[in-house]
Amino acid sequence: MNLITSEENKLGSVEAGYMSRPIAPGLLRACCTIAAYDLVRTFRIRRLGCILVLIGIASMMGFSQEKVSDYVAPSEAVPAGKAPKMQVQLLNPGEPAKQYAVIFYQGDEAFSGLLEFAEKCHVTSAHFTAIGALNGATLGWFDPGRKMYKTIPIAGQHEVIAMSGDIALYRGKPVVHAHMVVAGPDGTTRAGHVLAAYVSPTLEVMITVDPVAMQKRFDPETDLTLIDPALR
Amino acid sequence: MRWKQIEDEPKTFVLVFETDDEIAGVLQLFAEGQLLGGSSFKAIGALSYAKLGWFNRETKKYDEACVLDEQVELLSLIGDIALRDGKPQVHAHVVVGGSDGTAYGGHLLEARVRPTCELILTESPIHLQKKLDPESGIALIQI
Repeated sequence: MNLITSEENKLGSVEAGYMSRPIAPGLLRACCTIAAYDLVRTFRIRRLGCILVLIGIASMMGFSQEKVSDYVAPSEAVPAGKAPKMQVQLLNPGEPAKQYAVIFYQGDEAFSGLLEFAEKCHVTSAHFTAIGALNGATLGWFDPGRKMYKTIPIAGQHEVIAMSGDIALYRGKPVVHAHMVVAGPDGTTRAGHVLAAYVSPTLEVMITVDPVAMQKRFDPETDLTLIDPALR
Repeated sequence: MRWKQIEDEPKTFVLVFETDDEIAGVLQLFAEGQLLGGSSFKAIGALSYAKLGWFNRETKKYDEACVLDEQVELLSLIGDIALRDGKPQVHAHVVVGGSDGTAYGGHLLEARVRPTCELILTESPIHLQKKLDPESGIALIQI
């Protein structure tokens, strides 16, 4: 997913392909408006005409909001240095598996921090669970048709109810894969693939680092990097 | 609640809760009894009652997010244990699902088991310490 280099150009062209989408709603909106005025003239039902125009505009505006910026390519690089307060404690230095507590604080972006942890501690294979809370996040839903993540913006204070994920290697570099369920003030939940999570006030990640490296390979069918247990 | 240690390295316990056990309270007593101070755990099961919290940054307290006085699946319970002033402090979050699959989540305030809850807990030799964070008003793990 992250840190892919050779696929970047290809994905760039995919993004360019979607750039033309927002133009269509504008034309549709105009057509819809003209059609609605024709209705008014023909049937002289002004109120119905006004309602149709409003419905048309509203639905077209809703459609045009689904633009290219709402999608993220799986290969999008993870920004570094976004979790300056992150702290790491080795809990169990034992063999074969090591345990770490990675704790994030107010303002840290946890996904970037987890990658930083993996790089600094030379993690080649790990799994983790986490709980905490955040103020703002970007979650994703993988759209198999577009081979991109549709972004799910999470605004405001939310509990991180369940975060789980793993770390594996792609071309020698660690890649973090995490999912989370978050809950708002009424307990209703939203969930998705973690793209960014802004911690508030803390996120407690318990990581088990396993001794045998897990390798990922690029999957052209999905444009994702997938764990391949056969790779050594 | 019945429990059994299933591994020495890392020290791992299985806890099985029974009907009418209240998870938060029982787990706190277990942590104190075993002097746990650097643990993580996860569980699944089912509940007859759940009270979930949401951290309010304005009041620096947990608001009651929702109370579910009905049979729900306990879909995910994830948590950790660290020491605050030498005493184990359990921190857990839950997702529960109702009869139509709708999910609710929050900080675990109260959860009454029916008929079972299976929890796996791993304790590490190095303990974690919590200290009051004046900015958020709650005790956070400090390393």
